[in-house]
Amino acid sequence: MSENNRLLIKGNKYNQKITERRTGILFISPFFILFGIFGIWPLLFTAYLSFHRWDILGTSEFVGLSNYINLFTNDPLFWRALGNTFSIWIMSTVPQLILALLIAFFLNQQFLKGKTFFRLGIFVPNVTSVVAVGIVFSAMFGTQYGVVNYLISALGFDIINWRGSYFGTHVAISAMVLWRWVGYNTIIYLAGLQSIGKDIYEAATIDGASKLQQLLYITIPMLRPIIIFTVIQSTIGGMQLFAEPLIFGVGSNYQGLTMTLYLYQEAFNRFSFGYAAAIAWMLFFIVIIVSLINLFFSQKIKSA
Amino acid sequence: MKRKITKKIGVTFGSMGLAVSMIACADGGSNDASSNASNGGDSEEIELTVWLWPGFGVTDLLAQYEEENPHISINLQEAEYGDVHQNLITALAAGSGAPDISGIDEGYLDRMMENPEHFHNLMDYGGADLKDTYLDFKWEQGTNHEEDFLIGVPTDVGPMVMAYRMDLFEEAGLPTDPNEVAEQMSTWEDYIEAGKQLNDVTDGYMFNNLSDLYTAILEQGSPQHFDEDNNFISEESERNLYAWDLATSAEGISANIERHTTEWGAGVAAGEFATVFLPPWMLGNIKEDAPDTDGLWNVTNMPEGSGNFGGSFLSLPAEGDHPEEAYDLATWLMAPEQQLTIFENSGPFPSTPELYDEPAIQELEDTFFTRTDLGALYAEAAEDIVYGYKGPNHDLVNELFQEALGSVEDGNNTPEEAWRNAIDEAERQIGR
Repeated sequence: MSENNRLLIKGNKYNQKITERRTGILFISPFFILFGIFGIWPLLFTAYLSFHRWDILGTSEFVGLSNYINLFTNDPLFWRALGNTFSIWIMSTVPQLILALLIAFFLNQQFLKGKTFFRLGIFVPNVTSVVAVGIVFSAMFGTQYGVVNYLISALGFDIINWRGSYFGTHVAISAMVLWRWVGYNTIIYLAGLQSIGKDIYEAATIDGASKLQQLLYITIPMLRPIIIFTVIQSTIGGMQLFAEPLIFGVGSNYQGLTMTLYLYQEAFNRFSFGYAAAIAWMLFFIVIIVSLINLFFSQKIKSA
Repeated sequence: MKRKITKKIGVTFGSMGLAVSMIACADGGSNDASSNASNGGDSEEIELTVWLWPGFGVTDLLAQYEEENPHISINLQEAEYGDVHQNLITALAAGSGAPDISGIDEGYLDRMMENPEHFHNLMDYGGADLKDTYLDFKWEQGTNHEEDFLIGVPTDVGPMVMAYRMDLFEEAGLPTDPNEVAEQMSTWEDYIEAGKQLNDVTDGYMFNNLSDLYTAILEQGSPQHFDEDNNFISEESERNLYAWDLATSAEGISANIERHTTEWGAGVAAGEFATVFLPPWMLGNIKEDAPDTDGLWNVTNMPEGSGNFGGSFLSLPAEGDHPEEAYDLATWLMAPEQQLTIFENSGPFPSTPELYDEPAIQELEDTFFTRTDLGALYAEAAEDIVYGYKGPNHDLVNELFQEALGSVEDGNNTPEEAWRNAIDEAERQIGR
């Protein structure tokens, strides 16, 4: 082989490597292009916007940190929205997960007939449109003509002004979330339950453990990783609560105002895009903090 | 034309679909623009894109216009009320994707007026000739201070009248004849007095909630929350103080039911409250929600004059490349003759006073509301509408006052606390 030929082959090899690399990059590029356009760019632009005052139609004006300073020092609504979000999150998540666990435990019992029917039935609320849920529940929680107040007064109690009080609004919104998500968590718990061997229960039964003892000392400890998963899922959902309070109404004392709804109103009702961007970044940090707390506890629980 | 509940839901879906529709629109818009710009010339085919929300009632007219003007083809794109405005704002901010003609409701008007560079000035295309055709208050709404900028061609108006339940009034010992009712309740104080009588005798309520009463009174005068230099004046504005004081004094006769909710519909059907202030486009809501009350209603003037609720303009976004053709279409569409056609097909109420003597309007009757001259009543109310300057932040501030009245009614705040909260919050939101 002449010197020339060898060089040519070498050159070809080199070219092929580059071509392969290019092809590889080309193949994975759609993700990065889309992620860049819909992920990175809005993120950066939001950061840029948060230092401006901008009503979208006019020109934007650089205001430095003033949006953030206002948020911390002079915005009662933001802190109220934060409080509402956590309050509604706790009021909907805690009963929801306990209920889901109990239903899953029940659905997993040997004696139950027509399991598929019940499993399907419990999951149906989750595929219902959130807007439809919001409208129906809003009607049910009507103060004068709602069916819930009708039942309450039929039982002889005072009716509750669902839209007019903190407690009422939080309960009504939590009820919507609860109704929609119990089934989802039930199905997940059910999958977890089915992975626990029957022999453990059989052994427990032989040892004379009651159903309650089986639930407390076998089921729950063995479901721990799945419970952690559902808690994290519910946290993410709870922090993003939006459509339910939007449709139900935030109430005259803003008792139904959640963080994302506040962000949305600032941007699209009041056209304060810069301020809304600052809220978005604050939300980002709050979610990070909540996630870290979550992580800390789940590590603890895992190692316990 | 303002439908709040559909607006709410529309907004939810709209914000989800916004990205998609923006891309779709931007695409269509830019293609049309580039292909048309290179053509030019009268005989060439020109496509005009029109954005409206349902309820304008112009579909047939647009087809007729296409037929009469073969070189024009019209692409009507309808979306929900909230979506049209948000899409328009997004398109204007993005600099592409806006239609040749877009409807703008009065609720969004002042925000658009603040940014005239985004719109063709109709004055440049002969807009000054429109002045005498339309109601004065519409003209003032659509023009700037100096009257050298006109944002759009006025479409409909929403003159307010008062509907009342004759059976409930009779039970309470109040007059039932519309003229007598108008006479006894010629001022808001008399109206509230009558409401207290009704409440004493029948235990029923006079109206649905304080914020609706407040808004009705506020709309009858000017200035409201801002002066013409956009200074925040709610605290000393006589109109605002008057509306607030009257509303808070009427707490006992309010049912505390928000409009545009299922509760409101149930309340109307059950006769929970005896009066409703309503523009023509809301008559249907009562008929739908409470069909059993057919014939129990009557309609008369509101205390202390009329007021306006809803009504729009056809604007020409500056991105459109055919302002002349678009102007011709918009002015033709909202010319008296066409507005009459729209009205006759049970569309919205015309904004051109020369039509108000037309038999179609004068003889509009409605047995549901026991009136053989409902149209005449509305025509009279339309001419009574006074122009109240609003300013770009009006809705923001007005909503705060409405919420404040809600918190009074819910028993969460005293009127003094609620007033303070509203003022503080308004100053904070405007100031930052």
